[in-house]
Order: sequence, then C-alpha cells, then structure tokens
Amino acid sequence: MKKKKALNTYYIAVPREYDQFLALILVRDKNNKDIVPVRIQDNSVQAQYNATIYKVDLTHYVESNQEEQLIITETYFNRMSALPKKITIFEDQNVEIYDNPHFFSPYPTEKSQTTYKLASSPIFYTEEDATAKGGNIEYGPYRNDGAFTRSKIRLHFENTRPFPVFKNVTRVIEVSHWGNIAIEDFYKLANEGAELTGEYNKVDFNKYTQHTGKNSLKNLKAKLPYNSWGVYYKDEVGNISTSRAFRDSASNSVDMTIEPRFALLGGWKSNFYIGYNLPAKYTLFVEKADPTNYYLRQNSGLIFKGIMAEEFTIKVILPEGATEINYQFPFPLNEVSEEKSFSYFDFEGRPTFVFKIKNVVDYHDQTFTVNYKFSQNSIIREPLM
Amino acid sequence: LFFFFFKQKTAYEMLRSLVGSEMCIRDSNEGEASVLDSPFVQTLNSNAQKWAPALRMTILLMISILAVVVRVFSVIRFESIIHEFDPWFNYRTTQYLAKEGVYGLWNWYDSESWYPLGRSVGGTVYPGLMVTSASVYWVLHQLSIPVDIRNVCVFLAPVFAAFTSIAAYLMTNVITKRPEAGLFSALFVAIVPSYMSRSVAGSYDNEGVSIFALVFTFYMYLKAADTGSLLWSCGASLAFFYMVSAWGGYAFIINIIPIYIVAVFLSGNINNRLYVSYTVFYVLGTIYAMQIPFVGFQAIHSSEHMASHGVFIFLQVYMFINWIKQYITKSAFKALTRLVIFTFVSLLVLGFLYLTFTGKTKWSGRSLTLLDPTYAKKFIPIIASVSEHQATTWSSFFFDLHYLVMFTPIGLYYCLKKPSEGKLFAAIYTVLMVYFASVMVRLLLVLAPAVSIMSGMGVSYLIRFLIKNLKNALKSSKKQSSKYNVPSEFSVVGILLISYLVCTYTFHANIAGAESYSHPSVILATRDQQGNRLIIDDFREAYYWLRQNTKPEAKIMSWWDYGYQITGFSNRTVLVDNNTWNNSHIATVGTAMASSEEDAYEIAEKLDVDYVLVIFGGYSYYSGDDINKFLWMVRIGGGVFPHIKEEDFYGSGQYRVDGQASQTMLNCLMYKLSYYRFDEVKTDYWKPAGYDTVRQTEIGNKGYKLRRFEEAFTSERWIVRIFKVKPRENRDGLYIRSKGVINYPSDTATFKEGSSLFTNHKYSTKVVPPKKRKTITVSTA
Repeated sequence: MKKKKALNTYYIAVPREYDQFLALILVRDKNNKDIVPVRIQDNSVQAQYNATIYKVDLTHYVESNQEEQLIITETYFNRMSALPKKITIFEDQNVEIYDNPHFFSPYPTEKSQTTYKLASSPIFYTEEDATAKGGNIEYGPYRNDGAFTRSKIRLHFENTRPFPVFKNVTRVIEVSHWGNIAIEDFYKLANEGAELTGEYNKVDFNKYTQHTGKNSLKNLKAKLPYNSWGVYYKDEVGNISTSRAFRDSASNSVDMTIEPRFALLGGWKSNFYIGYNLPAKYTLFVEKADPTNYYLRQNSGLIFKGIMAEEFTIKVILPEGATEINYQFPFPLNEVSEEKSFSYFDFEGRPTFVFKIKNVVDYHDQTFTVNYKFSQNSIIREPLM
Repeated sequence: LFFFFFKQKTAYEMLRSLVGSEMCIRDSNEGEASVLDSPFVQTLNSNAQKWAPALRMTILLMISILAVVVRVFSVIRFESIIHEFDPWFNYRTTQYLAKEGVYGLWNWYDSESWYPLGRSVGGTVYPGLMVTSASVYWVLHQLSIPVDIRNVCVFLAPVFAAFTSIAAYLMTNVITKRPEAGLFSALFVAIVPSYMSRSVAGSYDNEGVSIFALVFTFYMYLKAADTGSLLWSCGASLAFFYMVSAWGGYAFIINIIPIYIVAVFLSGNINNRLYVSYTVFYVLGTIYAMQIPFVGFQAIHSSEHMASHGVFIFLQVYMFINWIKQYITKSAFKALTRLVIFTFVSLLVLGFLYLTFTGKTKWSGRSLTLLDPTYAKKFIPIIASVSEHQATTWSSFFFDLHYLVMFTPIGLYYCLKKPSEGKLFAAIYTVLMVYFASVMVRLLLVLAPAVSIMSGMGVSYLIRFLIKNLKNALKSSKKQSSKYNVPSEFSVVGILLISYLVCTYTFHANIAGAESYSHPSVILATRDQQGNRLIIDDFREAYYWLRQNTKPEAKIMSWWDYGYQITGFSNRTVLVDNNTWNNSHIATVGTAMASSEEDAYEIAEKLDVDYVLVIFGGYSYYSGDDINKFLWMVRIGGGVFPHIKEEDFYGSGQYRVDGQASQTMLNCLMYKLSYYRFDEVKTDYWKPAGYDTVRQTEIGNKGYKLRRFEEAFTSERWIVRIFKVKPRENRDGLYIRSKGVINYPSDTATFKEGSSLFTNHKYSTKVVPPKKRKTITVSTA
C-alpha cells in the first residue's frame, strides 16, 4: 500500500442528469477563497456512475488524517418546472422538482443531511427519510453512504413568483477618450413560469391586481453604477416610458425600476435595451509612469440581481488606434473573439473584443479589466477631419 | 382622449427669430425706398443696395433653418419615431431598400401583407422617397457617419421643407423678378400649416419630398419657358422625373403645364420659347415617367396624361402651319387652318371617346373623384371612407392656410394687373388647385405652395405700392404725383396692418405646427389629475406584444388602417393594409367584422386568420376607434357581398350601440370583440357599468360569451384588443381539416349552408335572405 500523501485536489460529482442545468459551482476552503472547479472530460467515469466530475485545486495541501472544511455551492437553473405546465390567469402556479437527497460524491460519505427550503408547504413530497416543518423538508441524516449513492425524491409545491430568465444579453461598451464610456445592454427576457392558457381577461388582470396572474412579471429592478447618466430604456419599436431611476447614495448606485411594455405572463417574452453613460474618470485609468497605458475597469455582471442570463456577450469597443490589448477576467470565459467596429469618422475601425459567458449569475458581478496602449495624440485626429 | 398642450413657450421662443427676420425684410424695403434725401439716408440706401444680395441669402438661410426647426416639435415632445400609417410602409420599404439595394426592392415580393395574395412591392410603389433616404443613408455611411436609417427617415421631410422654401423663392423670383416677393413666398411656404401637417419630423410620407419636387419642377419649367433654353427644359424634365418617382400627384404637373400652354395660346402669346420648353419637357418627361415601374405605360394611355399628348400634337401642328404660312396665300392659309383645326379637334375628341369607351384609357378612382366630387360617395366607398379624401371645409381652409387665403386674391389681382407668362402660370396653378383642394382635404397640401407664392407676390406688391405712395407723399411738397394718391396715413396703417397679419400668420403657423400636427398618432399624450404628462402607448404595447408573443407566421386580421403599422411594428402578416389596391379583399374583412360570430369565424378560418385585432376607444375616450369606423366596413363589405346591408346596422334610424341598436349590430363580430366583457367595468363613477365614453352611452349587449374567439391580449387602456381565433372543437362544425383529408360532418345541410355563405354571394345580384341569427337576450343588470 502506498504511503498516504498530502492532497491539494478534491473531486466533486454532479448527477449527470442535473449537470446540464448547472449554472455555477463554487468551492470555498478555509482560506475563504472562491475556487471554480474544472470539469473533467473523463467519459468512462461519467458512463459508469452516470456522473460528471469536477476537479478542485485547493489553495493549500491537506495532510493525511487532517480535516478540511469545504463549502460547495452549486447553482442550478431550470430544475424547477411548472406543474401543471399551463394555468389560467386565475390559477396559482405550482412547481415540481426532482433531486437526489444524498450527498453525491465520488468519496464515501459518513453522514449527510439535506434540507429543502420551499416557498410554501409542499403539496407533495417523497416521504421516505423525510421530516417536514412547514416549508422546510429535511432528508436524512444518511449514514455511511458509499460513493455515488443516489436516490430520487420529488417535491411539488406552490410558487407563484414569475421565473424571469434572460435568454440572451448583449452589452456594448464603447470607450471614448473624450471622457465618456457609453454602455448599452440588449436583453431578451422571458418568463419561464407556467404558461398562460385560456383567456387574457383584461377585466380581471392588470398591472395593479395581485390576485390574478400572480406569476406575471410586472417590473424589474436594476442597479446601475452610481455615476451613470443619460439612462434610457427602449426596444426595437422605440422608447418605453414606464421606467423610473434615481441616484441612491445609500446603496451607491442608480436604482432603476423598469416595467416592460406589457406584464409578462407565463411563457411570454419581451426584448428591451437599457443604455447609460459613465464618466471615463471613474472607470478608465491611466498608468502614472506610462501615460499611454490605459486600464478600463468594468462590471462583468448583469445590472439585474437574481436573474440568470443564459448567454451574456460583452463587446468592448476601444478607440481607433488602441494597441497591445490585454484583458483579465476573474472567471473563465466561454469564448473570446476580436473584430472591428465602425462609428463616426472611423476608417480603419475600432478594435473590438467580444467576450462570451454562459449561464451568468450574481457571482459574475465582478470587475474585469481591459488594458491597452493608446497615444493621446490620436484622439484629435477625428475632429480634425 | 384629451390632448393638452404643453411647452407653449417653445412656440413663442421660436417666434422671436421669426419676427426678427420679418423686421429684416421690412428694413430692406425701407432701405430701398428711403424717402428722405439726407446724406445719412443716402449712404444707408447705397449700403443697403450693396448688401442686399447678402442680406437676401441670409434671410433665405434663416427661413430654411426655421422650416426645419419648426418641424421638430414632434421629436422634442415625443421621440424620433415614424408617425401615423403610410409612413410605416415607407419606412419598412426604406429599411428593405437600405439592406437589399435597388434591385432587391425591385424584386421584393412582400408576403407579409395582403395574405394570401402578397404584394409585389417593387412594381407597386413610388420609390422616390425611399431611394432618397436610402441614398442619404448610403452617402453618410460612406462618409463614416453611421446614422440610423430611422433618423434619416424621420428628419427627411423637415430638410425637404427647407428645400421647398428655397424652391418657392426661386420660382417667385422667376415669376416676378422681385426677390422680396420670393422671400415672402419662401417664408409663407416654410411654415404653412397644411404643408407642415405632412412634413413634420417623423411624417415620412411621399408628400414630404414631392412638394419640393413639384415646386422645383415648376421653377425649372418656368425658367425654361422664360429662356427657351434646352438645358432648363431638360432640368425641368429631370425634376419631373423625380416627382413621378415620388408621388402619384405628378399628374398635377403633367396637366397644369399643358393647360398653361393652352392658356398662353388662347391669349395669343405662344412663341418659340414655349414651344421648345414644352416639347422637350413633354418628350423627356414622358419617357422618364415610363421608367418608374408603377407608372410604366400608363404614361401613354392613362387619362391623366391625355392632355399632355393632345397639347404636344397640337403644338406641332400649329408650328407646322405657321411654317407653311410663309409659302401659301392668305386665303388658302385660312382654309387650311380651319380644316386642320377641325380635323384635329374632332380626331382628338373621337380618339378620346374611343379610348374611354373601349376602356383603353382609364381614370383612376381618385382622379374621377376629383372631377366629380360625388363619384366616390356613390361608387367607391373605400375612397370615400378615408378622412383625407373628404371635401374640405371652410374651417380647415382657414386653419391650414390662415391669412394666405386673404393674401392670395391680392396676388391674383397683381397677376392680372400686369400679366406676364409666369404670372399667368402662377394664376392657373392657383385657381386649379383651389378647385382640387376644395374637393379633397388632402390636396390642401398641393394648394399650399400655390397660395404661398401668390401671397408672397401679393404682400410684396401691396407693401411696394404703399411704400412708393408714402415716398411720394413725403416728396410731394414739391411736385404732386397723380399716380399714387392714397393718403400717407393710410399707407402707414396699411403697412402696419400687413405686418401685423404676417406676424399673426407666423404665430398661427407655429402653434398649428407645434400643437396640431406634431402628434405621432401611434403615441398619445394626456395629463393626469396632477397635471403630469402621461404617455399613452397602447398601440406599441399591443403591437410589440404581437411581435414577441405570437408565432412568426401568425396572420392578423384587422381593419386596413392598421395594416402598415402591424407589419412595421409587429413584423406579422396582415390580410389588408393601407395600400387599398384590392377592394374585394378589404370587403371580405369588412364582411367578417360585420357578420355574426359564427359567420365571421368561417371567413377567418378560410383566410387562415390566427388573431383578430380591433381598436376600441370606449374605455379611454379614444374616438378614432373601429366602432366609429364601422359603418365604412359595412358599406365596403356590402359593396361586394350584398347580404351585408347598411340599414341592418341602424337601430331606430340611427347608428348606435346602446339597447336600441339593431340585433345585427349587437351581434356582429366587431361589436362583440370591442365590447367583450366591457359591461363588467365602470368607466365613470357616476355612470353604469359598460358605459362607452366615446359614444356617451351604455352598451346594449351585455354578458355574452365568445365561442369562437378568445381574448389574447388587451392593452393597458383597452385601446387595442387582440383576439385569438380558437381552433374548432372536436367533432364540431362543418368540416375538419386534418392531414389534408376533409371530413364532412353528418349534418350535410349545415355544411352546404355554411360553405356557400361567401362564395355564393360574391357576385350575385340576387339578394339572399339573411341567415337566421341567434338572438341574445339583453340583460338589464
């Protein structure tokens, strides 16, 4: 038998049927550092245990017989589905979810316990090993589970909230060395709750009623950077007049409430744009030693909290003549490409970086940096023409 | 809806600059006609003479800027959006053109309109407007100015209004040779309300560019007639070509110019200059016109062009005779003239009669309406139904032209007092247009440049007259002039009065432009109790809902008014739209709206309709809704399908929606969709539930359910209501289409009756007795 070595890797298993719904997996070790595990492309394990394995590189070595505490956060989307799939405007939305109550792991587990916190007392739950206290359902404790132990439970409960999802978000960040950063986001919003069936019933349902169309999405709240100005909210057919924004110094942000053109009932969609400007002095920095070296720092997350974007594209348009472009993101990207954009009086085109991220959640609300060289002289070239 | 006006200040702020330019004009006049002989005034006078051209150009530039600025109220108050109905089609076509290029547009078969027929857009459109804005767009993009195509479209008409005022200046200049008259004309036309109504920012309509083309063609032609130059004649035909490409109203040009030639001939002043200008203009103009696919050979055989052919042939013959005159005796010439004139006239008349009766040449419905104002009312309800085709009322004459209606007779008087060819032209143009504008309210637009030019001439003539008079009066201490004998006090008052009237006109024009004509009509504005401005965006709300939440191939049935908007905003297929080329298709939709739910369902099913869209104002005081337009649907429907009878929709001899309305009315589809569940809401605290705010009455049919349709969406203020056509229930109805097999129902009698409903009626002259309708008990809740 081999001598036990100190370890700095740990493997996490996710049941394969749920892996496609996994938006984000994060591990926090005792150094309080968030680690993004890497997916292992080993088909044999996947096939054998019907599991997807993620590898975590810990920030330090763990000696044998030593204990290490890890907090694993897995964020899923689309796991809950409406049941019934279609409801009328008068009905409340119920959802169901299937899960594995055991701690699913490639290692044996001594003891595990799972608590489900539901929005309401369940209509149905798998009663085996379960104790229910109102909306909280506890499964377990399970003792001495082998590796890859699993079972299936089903929960069915009322959840009348809308299920907003951004199917696609495109952000265009246009940098001007005249002192302005213009940002425009394009959102494809969908309410993925139970679909509406039957009549719309204007008499019973409108913006102000609470008792009908409970799963309708009537408004959304966004937080824009504190210094943003010139905020607009529009769609393909023009301006939308139902939005409010005010600068809130307490939360250091511009709080914006938008109402889509129509309340989104289950299964409905709507697209919109939100645009705003930022003064360059708060987000565009220049290196003291080298005044041609610029750093653009921008938020890499959505301005809407708690809503996932299935695809998020960030386009950074740098001024014409920017060279030696580098970027740093705090998390891995799905795709990066480079192109040229043309705006007023551009002839060779502006260098543009396109960053694509899938399944964006609140975790992605961080800062990324784009670093480039730009000569101050080239900004006066365009006005001269 | 109540439209309240706000930001009135802006209108007045704008006016200050106007008054300024007004002052300039008067200053320059006074400078020219200075009465005192002091050296100071002498210097002033010579300086004014020296600077006059520069001053003139400055004033003209200011007028052009004013023409643009006064038209952007709609963008300031609302947003940069395309207005109304037709502009939406123009905008959509321009987008297509900008993307696909000229050949793409040429070959565009639009399957989104006139389902299931479609529309070949390239051959049925006047492409001038779209090509203009697409060219502007392409040029700007070549210059690396990436403007949005929408903004090009929105701001095109104001820019062309500036061009129009310059063209009016040039034209008046050619007619009178007096730049001050030109400046007055330019000012008048820049802000004349009737022209503004079609050229505010966002009003992206053919007229926006074609009024410029019209005035410019006239200017070029007058220049050609004045000089007899081939170059100007070619220029005139090119301008005419642009006009033909932009608007069907080119028919005015191709008729006014021949009429002018005839008038000059009758006054005995026909000359070689006119001969050259007309011949070149006619030949090139006609060939150019034929290049527009929508016109094509109509330029040869349509009645609108007959006058131009006739005058052309006549001129040739006349000139030929004149030439022969040199070689034969006087008596022989007389006989020859008589013979030729007789043969010519009889040939012309016979030929015209032959062509008309064999149907080789045809008058379009609109042209016939112009010649016989009662024609449309009698025969073509679809033309009569359009509000802009109604006869003009005196109030709209005054509102849209204001004091120009007073100045115009002065101009006409001036034209007749010292006649010249140019003045004769202006007079003919004005008089003809006054007639046409009286027939159709829409043609006030074509009258506007005419009266502006006339008024410019009239006002400048009056001012010149009075100032000369004043000058003479001041000089009169030495010698008495007998020519001008009006007391000088009268002159001063007269000048002040004219200035006052002109200022009032500018005030009125600005306010009319800012308040009346700057509403996009797809966005409405009102005020709440606190006086805050509220935007009512029901149209876009519903159109955008259609765009997002119906399947892309969904077909929408609505009255034709909303066709262009639905294709533009929602990108969905419509059955009928504002290009009212197929009367029977529109009549089918009208029939569906006027039929009972069951009958309408069959029509909808046959036409593959997925959604029915109705506009309903009864909840929110919006009076331009479908119930108010409904009688036209009945008339147009009844014109093709005689079982729809207008009188069936009257209750107690009146068109009404309350308890006394007829059963046909209370149970037709339009009524049922508009008022579906309306009886459950209270629109006014003091009124019963189901109180219609537009018709000011309680509705007559309450508590009914829909069997075949299902409410799919209703906008915030109920203005747009969309209903889904439900699929047939199992084992229900006449036949079920499934996998290409038609299953006949057991009840064949029902089937026969049902399926023959609409085919039998199509061209039958026999009146078919109306189907038995289910009566619905009117609940008295």
